[in-house]
Amino acid sequence: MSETMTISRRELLRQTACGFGYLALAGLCAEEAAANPLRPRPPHRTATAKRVIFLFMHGGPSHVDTFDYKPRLIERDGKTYPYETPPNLSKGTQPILMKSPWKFRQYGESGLWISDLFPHVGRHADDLCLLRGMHTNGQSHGQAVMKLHTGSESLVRPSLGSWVVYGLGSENNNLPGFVTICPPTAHGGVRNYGSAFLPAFYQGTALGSAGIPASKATIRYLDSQQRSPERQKRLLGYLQELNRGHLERAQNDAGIEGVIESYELAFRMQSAAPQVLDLSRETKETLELYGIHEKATENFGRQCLLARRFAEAGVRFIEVAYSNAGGAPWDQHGNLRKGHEQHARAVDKPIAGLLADLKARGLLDDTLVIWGGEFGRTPITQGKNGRDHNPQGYTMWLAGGGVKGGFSYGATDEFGYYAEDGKVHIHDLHATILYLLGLDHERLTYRYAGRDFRLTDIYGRIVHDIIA
Amino acid sequence: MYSHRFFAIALGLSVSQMLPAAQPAGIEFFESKIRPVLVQHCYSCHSKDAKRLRGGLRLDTREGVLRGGDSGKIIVPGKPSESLLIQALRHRGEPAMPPKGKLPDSVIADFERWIALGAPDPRRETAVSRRLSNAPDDREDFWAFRPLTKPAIPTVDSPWPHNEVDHFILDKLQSKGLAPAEDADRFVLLRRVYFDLIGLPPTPEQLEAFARDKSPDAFAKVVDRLLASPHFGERWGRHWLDLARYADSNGGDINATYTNAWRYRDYVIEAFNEDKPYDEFVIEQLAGDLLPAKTDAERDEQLIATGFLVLGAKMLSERDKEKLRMDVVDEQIDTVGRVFLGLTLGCARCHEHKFDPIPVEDYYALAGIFRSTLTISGSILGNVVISGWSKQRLSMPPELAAKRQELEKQLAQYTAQKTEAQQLLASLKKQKKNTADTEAKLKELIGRIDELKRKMPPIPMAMAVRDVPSPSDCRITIRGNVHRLGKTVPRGFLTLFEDGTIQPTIDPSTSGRLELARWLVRTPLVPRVMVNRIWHHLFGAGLVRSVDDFGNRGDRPSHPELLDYLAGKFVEEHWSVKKMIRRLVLSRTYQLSTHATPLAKAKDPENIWFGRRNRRHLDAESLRDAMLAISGVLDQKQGGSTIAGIGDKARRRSTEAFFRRSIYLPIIRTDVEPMLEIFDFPNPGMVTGRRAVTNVPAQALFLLNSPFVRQRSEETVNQIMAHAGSTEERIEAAYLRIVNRRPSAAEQAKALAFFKAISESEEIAREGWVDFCQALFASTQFRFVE
Repeated sequence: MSETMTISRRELLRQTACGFGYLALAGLCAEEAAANPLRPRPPHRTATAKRVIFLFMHGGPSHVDTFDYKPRLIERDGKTYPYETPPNLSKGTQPILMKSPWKFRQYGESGLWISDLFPHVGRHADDLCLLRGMHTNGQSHGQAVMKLHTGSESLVRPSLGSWVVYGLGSENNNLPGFVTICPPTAHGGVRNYGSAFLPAFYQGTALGSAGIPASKATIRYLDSQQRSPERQKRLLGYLQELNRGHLERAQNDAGIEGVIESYELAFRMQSAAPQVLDLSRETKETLELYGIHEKATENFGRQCLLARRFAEAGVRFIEVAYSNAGGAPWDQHGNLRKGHEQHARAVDKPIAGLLADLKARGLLDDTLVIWGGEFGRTPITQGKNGRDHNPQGYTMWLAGGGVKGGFSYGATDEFGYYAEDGKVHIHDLHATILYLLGLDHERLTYRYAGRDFRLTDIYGRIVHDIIA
Repeated sequence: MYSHRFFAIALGLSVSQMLPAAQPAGIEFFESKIRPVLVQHCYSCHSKDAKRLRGGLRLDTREGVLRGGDSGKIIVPGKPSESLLIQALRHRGEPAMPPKGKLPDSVIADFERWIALGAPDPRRETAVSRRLSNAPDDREDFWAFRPLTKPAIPTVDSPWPHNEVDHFILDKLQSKGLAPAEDADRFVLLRRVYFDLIGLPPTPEQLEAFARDKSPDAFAKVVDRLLASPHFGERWGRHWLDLARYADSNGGDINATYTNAWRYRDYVIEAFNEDKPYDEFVIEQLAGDLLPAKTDAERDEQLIATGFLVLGAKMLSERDKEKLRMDVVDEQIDTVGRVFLGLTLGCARCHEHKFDPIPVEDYYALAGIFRSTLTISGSILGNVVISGWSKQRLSMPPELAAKRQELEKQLAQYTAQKTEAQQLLASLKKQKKNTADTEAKLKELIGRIDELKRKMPPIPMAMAVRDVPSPSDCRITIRGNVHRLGKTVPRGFLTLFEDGTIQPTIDPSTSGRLELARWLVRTPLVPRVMVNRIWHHLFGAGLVRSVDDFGNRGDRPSHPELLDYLAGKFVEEHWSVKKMIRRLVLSRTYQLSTHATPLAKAKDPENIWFGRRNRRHLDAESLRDAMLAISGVLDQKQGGSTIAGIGDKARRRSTEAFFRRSIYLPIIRTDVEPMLEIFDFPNPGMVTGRRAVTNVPAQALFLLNSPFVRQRSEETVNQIMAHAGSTEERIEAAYLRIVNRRPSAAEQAKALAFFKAISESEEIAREGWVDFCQALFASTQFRFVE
């Protein structure tokens, strides 16, 4: 079987004169040559979303200060939490309720309540689908970050992006299918975009890492260093000649042929990726839309604009991390006001810019935008003026990709501690994301160590109520 | 479909790995749609656990379903409309099942589909229920659990075999109408055995010497020299570290540095170099701390070996410490099962293993042993929430110990003086007197104390376990939830080999680890799994291809007799890994060419019968080490810590100037050295017996654009230029060094043409040589071992 396949493939290449030189240098027949494991595949069902942009807020932004309006919390400010003390609080913490320092107001026709931390995003309220009954496992960052990204808080498992690309392939033959822009190095690091036991084609390709300015973020070894393009071309030409000689002597070997193709793809990536990374042709209006002209929003603005460019170029899964070298910026155990204000300012305008830009280009309809952190924060005070981790209940939001806009689903209790109605666990969110992409989370399996693994393990419930 | 298939093959992946849809649909369907319904709605009356079995019908086994009940057969496989079961489910007449109410139509439709598929059902009566029922012992049922057999060496009428291994291989080939390939060329063979045994290429001189040596034992001499080389342990130790999920940091949530993991790494290298019997090697890693020792050195070694149990990635910041403890136990059980037995035991934490005879009780019998073992201990990073891990003191050389004692004495004196000075200072301040002198003295004392602390020889420590003070049995946790406890299970071992003679008893005052380790090496799986691993590394595929899975879902052996023959020899020859490798490498089978005849390709495309050599990718370490060796910069220093000064939280540092072999590169779990990661280095948090093989474009980019490869190319040019000579001679020298053979006339001509295209200035000519060498390093001839 494999023999006939190999020969027919070779014959095809020969007949269409798609040898390396012609193909890669002329940029022709790219479709044909790049048929690879990332090749797009039909989904299990009709998809409403073709790609994902995941805006990851590392550290856990407080839901009761952003998207989960709690009048009772304002009323009871400074009072003792009237129920049994929740588990897992840091030692010595008195359960004193703390109202949000920010005002909430209603936005858009839908009248969603959003705090003054996100005025720009607020203007897109009618596109947002708030999930206010989120809950997850993992009281600490490492656990919760990995739970969010891989579905497991402790074991090494493939990341969400890897599963998506494994299921659907990529729409661009010259770029990786899964890109992560400035990912965190802490709390699981590469595990959060790793492919674990899935083949390596499906792992995320990192551009830079947290703490590296987005303007410097690039794909590793993309640049041919001091070698001129002409010299590089000559080197490659000779190299492929050597390889083809080997292939001939070996009388066709799938492994050797695979390597020859990988050089072709690498060469194409060398010209395709820098074009996507180059923001110089964007208009002044666009740059301003993302806040790239202002210091506070410049960095995350660039990340968001890159995300749009990758989305446009057909990359399947794009993660944009708001993180930093030290770890988890949204993690305000103290100084909630100062910290959250700083971080919200850095992301609010860029996110609003991204939503507006996607919409203007007709991309929002089939791009699923996901916003959120690894957990929320407690409605009670920690220390003088901070909040502790709260995986028991928090908010994430979705936009585009076939979800209802101007919609709020689920709720936490009166103070915002526990998810109560319309509870959505991370497994449920994963199942729903896959569903929107046309994948059945129970059928998207991979056999490893004698078992068929799923992103959602044995869990996952699709939240049909949020689908438009 | 067509192109998926093609590319799956092109990339060396099996089709079933690539396509979710291509997996055995029937069993999947049963597992996802049928079994859960049976469990939920039927088992209460129709299983062995039913209070009263109704209608004489059991639905918890395949046999039961097929046999039917008092009303006769309930299914006709392939014919749902004729099956009583469907009629009952539809509630049309009697019986109507389940009696409490009709199931949803979609569920009934699933049952129809299932029967239409032929009622696929993986359940075997005895497999899952043996412990609980009085069903007969079933260890005879499955090949891997049977005792080792002693197969006779097949007689073959041919002068072809070199040794008994070849008899088994040739016999099988002949029975399939196949013949072995021709022997490999001598240069090819030498390159192969160098990489396989020491992970480095031969030098041009070694190639020439071997080509000249016409004696019949020329190859055996090379093999013996390589087996005796200290580089042997660096190669084969690395294979073991893949299984031991070795790393220099925790990864997980808190990437704490494993300051002493290197001692375990060095222990492993040394064990392979000195050919430590494999059974001892196993026992030391599981229970070295419980073994008697004659000397301090022996004691140290045994403690260090148990680092194996501590190396796993842990969620150190888990606030629920009981959960953390059980998660660590789970990781240990899973690791021990996969590494030594080739079995996945982890499933049984929450439910009976679906495919292998591993009941929940067996899991908790083992869990009692590991829960009685101290692995998590204390806290680190000055944070009470973040747990640390168990360590043990190692011995100190007497002179260092004496020095330390002396310095400790001085330290105590200075510390006392410091306290005095502080008290004086406080009282002076109260009295508002001049404090300048005292402050100066205090400063001096603090300086001295710091200096002493710097000079103090540290106490050497090992990551090592010990038994907890009061070992105890473990209670079953309901579906793995550590706070929902079921009955207590006595500590013990797996029952799947149980034959009444080899279940030893556990001394209740100990964890039982030592008994477990000694029991393990008497099971037939331990030698089978290990010889198969050795075979896998030498031949590129195991006799059992799923090297980490010898269970029901794993592959069956292609040569069961050969596997048992080798396993038997292994035990008989005192578990000597080197003897086993020598036997395999000296077989003619090992020395075959990769060339496949059209017949062999057609009849055995995947080379199941080992009639030819598998062409293999160089692994990440060999690729890097070979480039360092060829360019003349390899630092051959062995052993020792390479993470000193890295801090409590591990971060990868630049390795630009690190020229030691790759096994000594620090392995930071969340941030593996890019070159290793790109070339399929395994995830260091997972047990890996068989590495993935990929051709991702990142590899191509690395070989074309990384400073590492460019620098090695430049250094290689220096080496070649040092041998003054004509362009042709230099081309030949580069070929010999990098791809370990001479270029053909056509290749010479191509190389010359490459140089001709470059202008003549000296500087540019040198650039040409650098590019030429880099092209050879990037070439498939270098990246594959024939």
